[in-house]
Amino acid sequence: MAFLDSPPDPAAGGGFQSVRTGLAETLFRLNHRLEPEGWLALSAERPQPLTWELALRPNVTFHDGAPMTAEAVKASLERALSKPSAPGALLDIARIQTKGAATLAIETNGPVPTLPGLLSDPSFAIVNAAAAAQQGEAFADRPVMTGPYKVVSFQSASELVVARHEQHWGGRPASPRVVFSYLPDASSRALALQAGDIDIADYVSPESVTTLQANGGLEVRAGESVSLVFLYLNQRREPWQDVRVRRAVASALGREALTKAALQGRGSPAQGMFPPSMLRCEGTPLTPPQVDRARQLLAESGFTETDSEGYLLRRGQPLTMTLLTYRQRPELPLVAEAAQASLKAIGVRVTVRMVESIGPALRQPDWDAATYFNNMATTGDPYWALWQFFSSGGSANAGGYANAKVDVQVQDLARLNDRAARLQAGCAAAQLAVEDVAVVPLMHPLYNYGVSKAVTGFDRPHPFFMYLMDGGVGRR
Amino acid sequence: MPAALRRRLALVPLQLLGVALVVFMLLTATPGDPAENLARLRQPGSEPTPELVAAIRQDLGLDDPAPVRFGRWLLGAVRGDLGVSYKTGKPVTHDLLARFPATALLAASALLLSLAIALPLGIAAALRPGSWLDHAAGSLTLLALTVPGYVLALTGILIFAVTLRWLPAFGAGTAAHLVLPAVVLAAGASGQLFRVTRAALLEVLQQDYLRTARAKGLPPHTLVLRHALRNALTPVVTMCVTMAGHLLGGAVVVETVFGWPGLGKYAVDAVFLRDAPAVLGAVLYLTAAFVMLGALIDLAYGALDPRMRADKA
Repeated sequence: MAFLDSPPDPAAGGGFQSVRTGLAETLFRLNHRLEPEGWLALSAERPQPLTWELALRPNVTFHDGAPMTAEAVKASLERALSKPSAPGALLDIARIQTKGAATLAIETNGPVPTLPGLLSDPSFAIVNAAAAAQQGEAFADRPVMTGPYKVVSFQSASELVVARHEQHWGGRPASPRVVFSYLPDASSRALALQAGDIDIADYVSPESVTTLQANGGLEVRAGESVSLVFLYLNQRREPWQDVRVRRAVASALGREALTKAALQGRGSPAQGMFPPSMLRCEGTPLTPPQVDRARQLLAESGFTETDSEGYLLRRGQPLTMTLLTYRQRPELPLVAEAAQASLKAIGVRVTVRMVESIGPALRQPDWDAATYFNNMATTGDPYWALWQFFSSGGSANAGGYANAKVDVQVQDLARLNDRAARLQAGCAAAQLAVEDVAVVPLMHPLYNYGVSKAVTGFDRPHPFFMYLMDGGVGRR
Repeated sequence: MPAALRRRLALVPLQLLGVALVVFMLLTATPGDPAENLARLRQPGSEPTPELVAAIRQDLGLDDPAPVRFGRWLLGAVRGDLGVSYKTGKPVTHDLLARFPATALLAASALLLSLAIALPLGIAAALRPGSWLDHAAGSLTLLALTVPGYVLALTGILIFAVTLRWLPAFGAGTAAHLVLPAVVLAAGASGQLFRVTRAALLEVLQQDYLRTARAKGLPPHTLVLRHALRNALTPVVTMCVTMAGHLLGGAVVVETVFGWPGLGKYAVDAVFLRDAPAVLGAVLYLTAAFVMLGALIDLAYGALDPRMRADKA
């Protein structure tokens, strides 16, 4: 595993890791099309605009044998709500009540049409809150949850050992015992797989893919991509306020060639913000780099002269770009390098700057562009990503993009109840922002797993890499 | 206890305080928000919401001004409580103690292994400078010194775990798990130790008192082992102790490649995360280790060379 850090208790920050390792389950989960569907809940009804009624799955037992009652779920949700969580304010819960042993009524302060999707956030994984209160601090490492596996031992950044939960509602899990080992180096993970020391390696780098595929006992598998690699353009700085300059950059970058260079085929060029696994929007067509068009756009915005090296000038000022990138996502430095070469062809002098931590670097004023990676499908709904990246004042709108029309569209989307209508509105808003080159979408990388052929039940990995281990994964 | 050692130990609390203060100031002055880093770590790949970051910040008490946070940490530290790691949610002393055995085991094995290689080779090379043995050992150590540990480690895994299947590719727990990490660490260390041993012994062998001893007809092994080596050992011991200090600080590359649960990766991760309690704990441990090794060096010097006994200075 590339990551194995947080204590498994969702309240201690380990929800994502625990859903991943088969320890935890949420009331709803995202299916392969990234739509929310029932998991520990069977269904969700909304009898009134401010009330959701959830029918809970029967015969679910916690790892300690206690039954999962409506009271237990209520206690678990209340415990989660008292802790930091990603959906936080979006959930806007006023009151949780039980209606009999198997139904939960959730009242919200305002309308929350996407409540099931928001409850798929791993911080709301269901735990036995009574056991948590009883066990105190020990619960962080050995939480009592409902997943097909339960914790045997956990050492942060070292090892998580789990054993099957015999009474799991989905039937007896396939593996008696699973060991998750922390191995942060991608090459080591690939080698450990080749040596036969592990059965599944997560987050395999594109460079290792060919070697692993050449090995008769191994395969490389991936679900559809849920992620996006894109380029921020800092519109608080000259000359990136000018949409013609931004369009020039977008048309100079051949997304197919960039994808090939950075991902070696393990991904697809992006036509819009959302990966097709989640949202099939009408995107911008893929074209090879359009150097002439880019040059013309730049000429229209005043870059008409060139210096001795062929770089463009406007009123004697060179067209330069400081491009930030970071190592935590290995494909990004490759993207930056390839973009540097492509932009040189249209006369932009690009300086690539590697930063240790991208978040703080983006809050500084001294950059023009930045490569970035984001998972677009966390709750299966487009609203959150659109608000973050494209709304003026959005929390991830690092380039300072502002378009009143997009703001209105995103606000309207928030109020829509019907999922199909939300998706359609999401596409429209994303399309508008991409036409404006709010950012430059580049590619959707695959999340690659190296898998031993001895492994069963892992033929079709879930697109969202949070759903890795389930009761079906076993070994011949 | 010798007076010099007492004087030295009396300064330790002040040294620790100074180091902690400087490290804390560096941590707060460099950009990076532990709450944001933690949010990214907990949900990899997703853009953390501002509400989440704010909630984590409040949870960890990061909203307080830096001097208050340092004061709070210091008050705990003097009582032996180094605080709770932001990442693991456990007391830092617990984390350090959990990881110390793996680091100590690896450090001791690597050091002993490199001494076992470097000392005999260094002595042999110094006794016959310019011989084929000297050249071969010289080239080999140059190779060991120049090949990056990362490359050596991956090559080791490829040969001994993937191809030959003699050793596990990663992990800890059995003697077999220790072999590759220890050999990779020892390779670089023995290269350095070989060079120091050879140079020191060569220099000593040219000194007047040894010429006299040789002229008196002392047998060569007595000459080398009893008279020359003892004097030549001073720089070797210094280097060994410095190496021990570095090894006890953990071996980041080796720990990363072999998934070895040591202190090096813990400390480096803590720095990247801006996990202040964990960084401060790791730094205090390392400072204490170096102070103790420094005292050990003084004692060793005294034993090797009576002129250098601190009390007689």
